[in-house]
Amino acid sequence: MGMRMKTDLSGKVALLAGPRDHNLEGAGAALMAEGAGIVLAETLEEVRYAVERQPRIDIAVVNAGWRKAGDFLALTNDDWADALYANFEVPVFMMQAIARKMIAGKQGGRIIVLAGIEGMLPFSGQSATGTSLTMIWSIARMAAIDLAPHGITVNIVAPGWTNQSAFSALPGETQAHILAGIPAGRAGSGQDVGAAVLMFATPAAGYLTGVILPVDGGYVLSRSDGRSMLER
Amino acid sequence: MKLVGKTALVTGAASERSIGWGIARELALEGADVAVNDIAPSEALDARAEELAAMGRRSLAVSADVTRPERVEAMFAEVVQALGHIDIVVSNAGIIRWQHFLDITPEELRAVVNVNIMGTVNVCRAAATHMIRQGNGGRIIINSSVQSDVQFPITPVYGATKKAMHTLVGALALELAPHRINVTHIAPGWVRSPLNDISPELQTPEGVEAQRRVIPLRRDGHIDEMGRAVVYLASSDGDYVTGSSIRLDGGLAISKYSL
Repeated sequence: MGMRMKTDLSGKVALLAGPRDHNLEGAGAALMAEGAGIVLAETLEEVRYAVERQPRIDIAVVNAGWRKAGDFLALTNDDWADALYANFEVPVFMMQAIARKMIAGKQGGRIIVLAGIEGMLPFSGQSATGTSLTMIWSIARMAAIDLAPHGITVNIVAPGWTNQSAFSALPGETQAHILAGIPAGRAGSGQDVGAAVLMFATPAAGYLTGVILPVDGGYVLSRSDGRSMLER
Repeated sequence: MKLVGKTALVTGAASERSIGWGIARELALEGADVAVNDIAPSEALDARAEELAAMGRRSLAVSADVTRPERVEAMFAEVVQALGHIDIVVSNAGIIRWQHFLDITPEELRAVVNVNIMGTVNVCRAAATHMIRQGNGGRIIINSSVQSDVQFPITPVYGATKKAMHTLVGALALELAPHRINVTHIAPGWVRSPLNDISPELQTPEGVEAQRRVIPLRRDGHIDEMGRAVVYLASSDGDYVTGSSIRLDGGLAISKYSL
């Protein structure tokens, strides 16, 4: 159709909070391409500083990007403490600081949380990562309720296999196994994540809140690896 | 009787109004020998163990703060020494705080996460380690909450720790299935246990009535009803059940409005 949705975010300030990875970079690129000014803040202290210093924050992307694979019996309580701190405590207080700023600004706002699909369904070897990610997306949905009267929406983007360089580095057999579980038949990218983040940031998305949107090519739809048992 | 010859440990079971006690008693009624735990030694905890003994079961009162892994390990050693083995572990201890999202403090957040997540992790790790060593399979059952399915904005941290039980239980069930250890959770709704005593919504007769009206079955759940579900999951009836939950809430989770 050649039609393109017009999304002008010029004049808006977008805060990118949390560890800078392919997903957060994809979000930043998408928001910047539509004219938003970008502020980077990796730690909670940096978020608090940015919130104090910036005259306004319209959009915030909060990345819960900590990951560690390991069998439950091999993970230590230090691993658990890291997971719960990085993927839950820090993003909770980032969101709180950002929300207070948006409330004071009286212009509403958009908060988008990045929390991987390991928090949407269980995986062997992902107990600490998955538990902490479920915690952050579920509390973000309760924040959505409390912040709605202030015109602030809170949504969650759940990236699947979007780390392209990590995916490319996997052995071919592993890649094939993973791809068989992705209905779309390909790994995703930070760009795919950015498109979803941008959607939640647009003025047209003001009635969407508390949504968890997997950006995963259909990976969470089924436990199957994509082939029926009859085809084997 | 479905659990003769089995031994069980239930955490957070000192109060006679607690879900933990309802579980311990129902397990014992089915023939299991049961160790009851709470955070500190108390006359109440001793009384629970004596009630179990009066039912003709071997029983044990073992205090341990579940947030301290070394105490949890010592507790398991004590239970195994006293009862010979451990077949059923119920991770029931939990705490709740009421506050809205903007009012969460780091202290409150850490307290709830520490007991509800790390306490559960410590108990599950010790349970799995012992059960694998024994080589006879086992059952790990976590008491989550109706908030594992539907959360409330007045308890955001508690709800997050409970929602996450689907993920934790699922991961444990996947990893422990080769050892024939089934991992499940029960999701109780409104029970008049000590945990709900300070609920700001339940301090007046009007509040209690409002709570009743949002529940399709129009009543609170009883601790023995929670115990019956655990008996199902712990017995051979539940042999094929792992990685899933049973919601015991009178329909609370499916009810948007007061009826």
